[in-house]
Amino acid sequence: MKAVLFVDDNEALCRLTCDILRLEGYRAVPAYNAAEALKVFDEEDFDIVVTDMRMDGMDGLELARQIHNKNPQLPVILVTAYEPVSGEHVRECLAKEDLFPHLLEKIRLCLSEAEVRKAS
Amino acid sequence: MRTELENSVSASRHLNSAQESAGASALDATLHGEATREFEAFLHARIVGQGAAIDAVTEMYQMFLVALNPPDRPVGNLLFLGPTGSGKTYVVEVVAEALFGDRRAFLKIDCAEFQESHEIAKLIGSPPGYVGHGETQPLLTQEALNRWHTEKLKLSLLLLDEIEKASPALWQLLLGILDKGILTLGSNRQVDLSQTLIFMTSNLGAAEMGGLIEGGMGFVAHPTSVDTSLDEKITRTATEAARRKFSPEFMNRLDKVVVFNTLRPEHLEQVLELELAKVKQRITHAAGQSHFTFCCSPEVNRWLLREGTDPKYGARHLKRVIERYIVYALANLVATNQVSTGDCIDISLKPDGSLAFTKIVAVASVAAAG
Repeated sequence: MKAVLFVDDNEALCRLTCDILRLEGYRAVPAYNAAEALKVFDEEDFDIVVTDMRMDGMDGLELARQIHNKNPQLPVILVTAYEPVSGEHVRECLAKEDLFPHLLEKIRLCLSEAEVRKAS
Repeated sequence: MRTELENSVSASRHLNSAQESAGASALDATLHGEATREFEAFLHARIVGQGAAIDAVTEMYQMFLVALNPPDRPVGNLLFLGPTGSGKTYVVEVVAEALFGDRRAFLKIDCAEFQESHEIAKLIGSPPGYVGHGETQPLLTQEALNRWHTEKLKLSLLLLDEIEKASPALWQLLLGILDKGILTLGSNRQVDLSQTLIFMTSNLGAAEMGGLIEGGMGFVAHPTSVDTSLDEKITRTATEAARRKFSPEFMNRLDKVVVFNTLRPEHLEQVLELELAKVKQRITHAAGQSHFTFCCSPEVNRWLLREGTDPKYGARHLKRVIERYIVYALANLVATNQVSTGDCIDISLKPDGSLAFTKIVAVASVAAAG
């Protein structure tokens, strides 16, 4: 079962998204800010991280950078309610208004790309 | 010396005089104990249109609770037959939820994975001296069966899904399990299934049932709804298909064969209500303090039923349709902060056939403003 770490300071969204991801067959773990995400990331193995861009304390870009310091190959998807963001640590950027069902497609795509990379 | 007949007459007179002196009262053998009644009510609240399945499981549970189930064999051997999407596996999930508070609290063996005789090793482990001995953990172990036992309830649930796809080697094992309640693993350890309720499901006769539901070939009107005579035909078709496929030894070991009814439109409406209630519960749980609710117009309910159900596949796609069209949209509304605590979202159908989401009232903000 593939594991997804979903990070967002909107707790309702975080839990609802994890709920949907679990129904889709993933092991989904919520984190409500970047510091908590890094702590959980150190304790468990994940196949992909999905994070909100704007959060108190540390933003999604910085979180992606710190996650890649620990695991450079891990795909990170950024979701934002503002302008699209890109960068070397971001595999995909999604607008929050189009979160579902696009997030599910993006996760599937990123995970299958990761599988192909691993196999080659 | 008194004959047996004289003894019997004497005993009967004694009983009559005892009844006259003590006062006789008729007993009702159909009554269930409190725990069984609660169990039955739980199933009825969650399972739609499958009364026969509920009755069969309830009967077994009652027997188990009063320890009257036959010793040295499983608590019950039930065969569920019926069209796809009629809820055979769902019944087992709800039974698990009723007994252990978790829908996954049963051991499921997918018989389609054991179509070749050598694959039986995955189920019971390889015997000593054979390749794989000690390397692969058998699927059907005492630990796996007892995993959900509690202090109060030492009952295991075993689901053998798509039983007709089992290999001959699995059949041999099954006959032993169903008869004696004992399975010997490759390591020679024995697994005791005498505290286990065994459910077997099969789609046998699915093609014929599909033909009945669709109205058969040729210029025959397809039924738009399901009537009682169709259920009777499906029952006959499924039972005959089972008797053709399964040996008399197997059929004789079954305590009950239940043929699942095709869900009628009124059943499907109830299923929709249940599924929407589950979504509301999920949202309340997920949203925590910032919970909100939603309601669907009758047109939306009809639209969901049209999209998510059909006579051939029952309610199989309903959950997915609700997830895709209702839950995803609500999640997007949460993501974009369009809903907040106390809001009620009205979901209606637009003229173009798409769904419209309207915020009716934010109870908390009205109270605050007031």
